[in-house]
Amino acid sequence: MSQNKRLDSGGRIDRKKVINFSFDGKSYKGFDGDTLASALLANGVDIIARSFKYSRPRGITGHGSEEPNGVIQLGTGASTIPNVRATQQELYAGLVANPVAGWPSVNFDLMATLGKAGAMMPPGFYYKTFMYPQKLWMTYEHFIRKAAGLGKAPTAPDPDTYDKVNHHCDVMIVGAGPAGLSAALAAAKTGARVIIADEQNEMGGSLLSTTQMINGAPASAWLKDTIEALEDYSNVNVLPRSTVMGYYDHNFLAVIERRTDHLGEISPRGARQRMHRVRAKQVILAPGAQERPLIFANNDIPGVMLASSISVYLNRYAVAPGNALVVSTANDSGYQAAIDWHKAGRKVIGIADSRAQSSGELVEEAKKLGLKIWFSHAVIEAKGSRRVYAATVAPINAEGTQVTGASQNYDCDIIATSGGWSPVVHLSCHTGSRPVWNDDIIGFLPGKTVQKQHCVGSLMGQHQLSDSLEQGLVIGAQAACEAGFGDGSNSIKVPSVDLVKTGQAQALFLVPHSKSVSRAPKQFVDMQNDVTAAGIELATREGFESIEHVKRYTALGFGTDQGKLGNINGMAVAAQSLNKTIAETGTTIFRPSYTPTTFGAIAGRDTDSLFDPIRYTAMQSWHEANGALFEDVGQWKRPWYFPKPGETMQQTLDRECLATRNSVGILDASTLGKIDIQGKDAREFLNRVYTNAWSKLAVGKCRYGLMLKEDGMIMDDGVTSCIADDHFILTTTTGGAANVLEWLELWHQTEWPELDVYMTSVTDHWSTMTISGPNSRKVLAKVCDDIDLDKDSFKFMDWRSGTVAGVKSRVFRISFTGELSYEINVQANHGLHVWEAIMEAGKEFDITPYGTETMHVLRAEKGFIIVGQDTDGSVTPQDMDMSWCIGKNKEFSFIGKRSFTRPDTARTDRKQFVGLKPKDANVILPEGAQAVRDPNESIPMTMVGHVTSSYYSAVLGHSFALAVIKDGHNRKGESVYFPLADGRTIEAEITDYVFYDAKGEKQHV
Amino acid sequence: MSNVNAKVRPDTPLANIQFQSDKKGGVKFQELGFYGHLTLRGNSGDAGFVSSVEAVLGLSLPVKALSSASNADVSIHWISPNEWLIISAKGDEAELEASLRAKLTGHFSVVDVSGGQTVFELSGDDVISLMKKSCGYDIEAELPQGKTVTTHFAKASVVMTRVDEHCFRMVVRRSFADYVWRWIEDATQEFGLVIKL
Repeated sequence: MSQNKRLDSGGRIDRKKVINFSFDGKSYKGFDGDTLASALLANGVDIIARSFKYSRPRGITGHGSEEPNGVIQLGTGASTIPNVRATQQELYAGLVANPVAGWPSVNFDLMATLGKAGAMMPPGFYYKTFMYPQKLWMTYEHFIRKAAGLGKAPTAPDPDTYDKVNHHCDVMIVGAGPAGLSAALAAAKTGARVIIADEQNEMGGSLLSTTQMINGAPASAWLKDTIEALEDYSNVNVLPRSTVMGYYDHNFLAVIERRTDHLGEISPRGARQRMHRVRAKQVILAPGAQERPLIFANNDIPGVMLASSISVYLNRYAVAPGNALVVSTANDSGYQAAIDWHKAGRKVIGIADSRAQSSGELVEEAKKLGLKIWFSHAVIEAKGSRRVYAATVAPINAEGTQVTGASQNYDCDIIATSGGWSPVVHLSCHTGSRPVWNDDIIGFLPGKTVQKQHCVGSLMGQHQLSDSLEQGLVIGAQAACEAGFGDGSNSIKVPSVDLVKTGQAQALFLVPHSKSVSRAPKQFVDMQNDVTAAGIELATREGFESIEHVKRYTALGFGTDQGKLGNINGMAVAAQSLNKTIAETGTTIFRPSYTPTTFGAIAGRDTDSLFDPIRYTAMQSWHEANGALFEDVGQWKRPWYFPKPGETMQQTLDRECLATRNSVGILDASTLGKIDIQGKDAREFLNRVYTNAWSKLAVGKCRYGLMLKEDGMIMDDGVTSCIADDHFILTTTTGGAANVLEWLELWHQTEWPELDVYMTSVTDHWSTMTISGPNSRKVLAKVCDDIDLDKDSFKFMDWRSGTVAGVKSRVFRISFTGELSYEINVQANHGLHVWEAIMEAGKEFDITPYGTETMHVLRAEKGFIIVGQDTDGSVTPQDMDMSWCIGKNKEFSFIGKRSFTRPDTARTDRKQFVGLKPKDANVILPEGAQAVRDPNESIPMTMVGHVTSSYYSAVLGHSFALAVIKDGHNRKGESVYFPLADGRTIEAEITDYVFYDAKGEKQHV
Repeated sequence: MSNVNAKVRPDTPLANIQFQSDKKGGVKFQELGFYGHLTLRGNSGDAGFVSSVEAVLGLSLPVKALSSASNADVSIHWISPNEWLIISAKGDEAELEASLRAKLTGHFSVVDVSGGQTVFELSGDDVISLMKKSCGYDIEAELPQGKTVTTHFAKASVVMTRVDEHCFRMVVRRSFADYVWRWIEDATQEFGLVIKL
């Protein structure tokens, strides 16, 4: 059974290149140029899926992105992709595909065997059946999804890469059929930057399978010339295999190029898929139109196909997916399938035309070929289960609403259906434009848009090839002109194409049956979601009148195909059922993505270590070489702690803390935000943005500052130093640096532009290393001989300029540990050198590098807060017992001051900053643990505060914590209790928040 | 001081990268480290400010948005209506700062940011493709020679100047340099990357 449906000649396939592939565990052969769908049809594979709800066998229906049934799982393991349309997947050697639906297999289906679960699944099924109990919903859904099958996401890391490319162009053209290609030609000629994208592997759209002639020659010749001409233009970017998945505001389009999906499961060259992010001055939409099937009973049986798809498989792929054809059509174009079928040497049983007559050219040609035509007839039912074996044809009335006579069954194995053409309005909808029903073309046209957008070709209901070619040229020149290129007139000769005379089409959607809709065999509207005409009628009977509600109630158009084939028919059935017109019921709109898009393509290279910038200080290599573990602080990597072999984390922290308290430790503090402020009003500016006063800070002095938001809550803190009378350096928290600078600029630019002050970030310029501990002065003295380090001349909260290890430095005598401490700042290119020199100098004192964790413990022992850890945007300076930091006599106000008098800010029972000493000295309270006063209170307990920082202190010999507790300042000595999720309740005593060196003597030594 | 060998050894932000250069490739990369970088703030409407800057640098102050001026050693780039970036290949930022401070009057600021920034030069036949993979700015149509834009490269903020048709310089913040480098290394795999040391 090797390719027994393949024609002997013809098609755009290469018969010399045989390709082996497998589907559903079986091996097949196809040719280069095949899609998976055409190859399966060539091999006579009828069933490639089981339906979602009723588990009915399903086969290929269409030939492109509209395909509702031929949706497969491509590949296996880590590189698998779910929800790939077999009609769009090019064949490659060794391709492995499996059905997404049908479990355990499409040919033996469990749900079907168990008796068609669908019988129990009317519209609104989920809502009606599985609403209660709500907690079981996940269980139901899991079972339903597994049985129905919606594809599987890979569970292992993807071996492939994906990337993105940004483009700017003057004219972006979506769709490379006759209209799109013509538009590209005309736009390209003006010199405009043009991008043309098409989702197929070959450009050409309908030209790839048409039998019409252009300039007296086969259309393929014009197509070849045109593509070559476009590729020769340096200003044109031709993107085949590229789906415009989304059209967004400001003419931004996302285009997914499948670069290697046709070459193999794993990319042999670079990125597998590439997202082109296109920003276009003008957009031309030329996506064409989609043939609409007629709905009749059992229209889902394998062997029922779109009429145009029959022509495509015959002419493009040389595949005749059957032997005996019956056509059911409401227009002339359905005849093309019969004509092509006949010319391919296959048997045409007859053409059922719902209209009374037509004198169109195709109809005349069919007559000349002697094909049987039944006017005023339609196929009302297909017979068969795993494959069509007959078509039931009956006479119908002129309105297409009733069967008017006896039906007759005709043996056949394939039924082609054409209900007309629906313009592909999806992309025009993406930007919020509502499509508008048009009775003349029997379809929705793109609605009004605010985008710089043009629509051309079948999208506008122009189905004549000659129109598409001509209008393409006109619109292409016009769009280019609006983008600033050319004079808007087309100078390219319009190709000569014979006009095809056509008869008036009929607006027919649901074909009547001799039984009522609810009694007739199922008439499928949306095959992917198993929505039937009866289901839509039921929904309207149950009171769902808005088309958006009908959609949600029935799941119409909810599948991965977005209802490309079913939606318009669904609207028509709903309208008919509601006694309205389609224009009155309207349509649902389409959203991105046009076809399913892989997460890989959306992520691009922003994954793994490139997901977000990782920022390093100048000393990173030293930290790594010395065994540091790292903590993420914003985008920075900061040393967390420096474990020695065999140490637990707590042992490391104990060692690092004791070394600093007893001798000297060193911290890389380069990540602290640093802002240089210059200008004669710098002091006044500081007065306004900080709570405390800056007017009298002398040159050479440093001061701690507290910054509030307007609501009076603490926003940031840090030390600011006076470099010169009009020059200060302000430090911020590591995570707050960018926000603080933005905040200062905001206030300066919008509120106080009269203040002469300029701010510049110098965070990256300075490498900052803090040496801390009783021996820090001795270490510094060894590497610095031009600063007088005497404790009375270089005092606590002073800074000096000097030379450290041969490098010009600013040395600040400030302390975040409570110890004698120097913060050495050098130009960052010298950071590593100075760090190493200090380490060398500190050897005799066993200088110990420490990271953020020890820094946290040391500062917490001193009760120094960390903004963002001990504060959370809801605490005031008063809550933190920091009223000492508020300037009382400042001439101008400062940000946040007014909020101090708000009743909520002023009340005395707010959560206040305190220390906690657990009764058990070895128990470390979890940070975030909630405090209660009465551990025996029944749930819900009255929560009175929470732990903000909690550690074990080696120097104190017990655990301790910082917390905010209601009325805490007045309750020192009392116990609070922390009931934990694990069942323990920890008791702790409220204490002062300074645990070590309460008098603050050590930093002054 | 005497106990320590204080031979000063500066490092560029990419000092620790073990560069693997392809023999040939569509993109060439060079880190121009140790350049002097000064942020200058002032009022371009003040004729004294403009003439003082010109007197010190020998370049006219670029007052037009996104413009720059340069000679063999120094370039000055418009960053915002009252901000400019001065880059000196000679690494003489201290002297330049002193000269500017001596000459400028009124409200201005000069800030040495040399340690916080480095310059990446990217060139080669495929450099435009690399830029398009990394940056949303319209490199082809909107970035002529000499224009300076503050934009993004991957997820890092950079100051980008086109030097010529196939050559760009980006000012990268020190702490982002490793990330930007790794992005370039990754994105140029399809073109080949030649490292100029």
